[in-house]
Amino acid sequence: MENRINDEFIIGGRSFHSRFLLGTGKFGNKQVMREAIIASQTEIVTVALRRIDTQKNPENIVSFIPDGVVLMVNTSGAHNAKEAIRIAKIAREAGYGDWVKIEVINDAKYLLPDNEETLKATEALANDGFIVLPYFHPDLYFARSLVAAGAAAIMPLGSLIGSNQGLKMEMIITVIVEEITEVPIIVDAGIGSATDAARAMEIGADAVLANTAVAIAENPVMMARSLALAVSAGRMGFLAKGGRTSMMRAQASSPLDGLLNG
Amino acid sequence: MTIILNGITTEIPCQITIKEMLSLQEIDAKLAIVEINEKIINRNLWQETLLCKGDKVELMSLVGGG
Repeated sequence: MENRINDEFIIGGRSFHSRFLLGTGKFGNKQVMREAIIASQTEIVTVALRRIDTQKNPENIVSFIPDGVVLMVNTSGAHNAKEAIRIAKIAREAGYGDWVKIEVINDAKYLLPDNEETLKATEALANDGFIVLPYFHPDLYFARSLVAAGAAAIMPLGSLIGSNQGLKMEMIITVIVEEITEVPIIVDAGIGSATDAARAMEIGADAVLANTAVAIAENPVMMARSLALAVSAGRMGFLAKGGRTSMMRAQASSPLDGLLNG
Repeated sequence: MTIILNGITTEIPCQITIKEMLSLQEIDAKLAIVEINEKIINRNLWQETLLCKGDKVELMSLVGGG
């Protein structure tokens, strides 16, 4: 049995039951997005900030997000720390809280984060009272710098955004998980399947953030549930310390004595 | 008079408030975030804040994102 009392997931002083975070992009329609959020039991969702297209009649995404779910505004579209800081401040001043996912990207092909600018934004916003979750290219020294800068959690990429390529960065994320114990580690980007989500948790990540895998699934609501269950399953496997012994020979699991032909 | 609305020079009537401008643009006020000359204007003030010629107005909203 999962013991939630002894397995709290805390970010920014707030305790959560779910270790699965869901992005809200790319959903075919907002009602399906809402149902996916509910099915996943996620307690934190990401959203983006954009100019309103005055030629269209946009829907109010906030009205589709269930009550009690934390809105975390991402800084997507920012090319440098200054732009990321501006987005975070606009969202806070507009009343959308102080949770921010730092995403600073200069590379259009691979959408890889600019770690240097991410660090600057993290430091400035943490000093300004934001709960800052930076998305970064996994590197141990850099992870330490983010913690020192005041990150509330750190979010190494599993693989390229929207690629569903899984945990290509597994080795370095494993190192980061071993070494960084001050803040939660949330694997973000590239999680394409339940297998990926469970694996991230089994190597000791504290949580997983997914979006594309759910939003583009034929059945997004079922996929949301699938990833959420995989996150729980992986977490339990990690806590149980199962499957740690890897051997190049078989080990009988039935008794070797008392054999009928003995 | 003209204002710069989301980067585009836009003609609007003189002496209108933010609330009236949103209504003219057929934008749902509930979702809008309004910034004038790089300052966010609290929605409580939209009914009384008049736009001025040349104002740089940004209309934003939250959208789906990962």
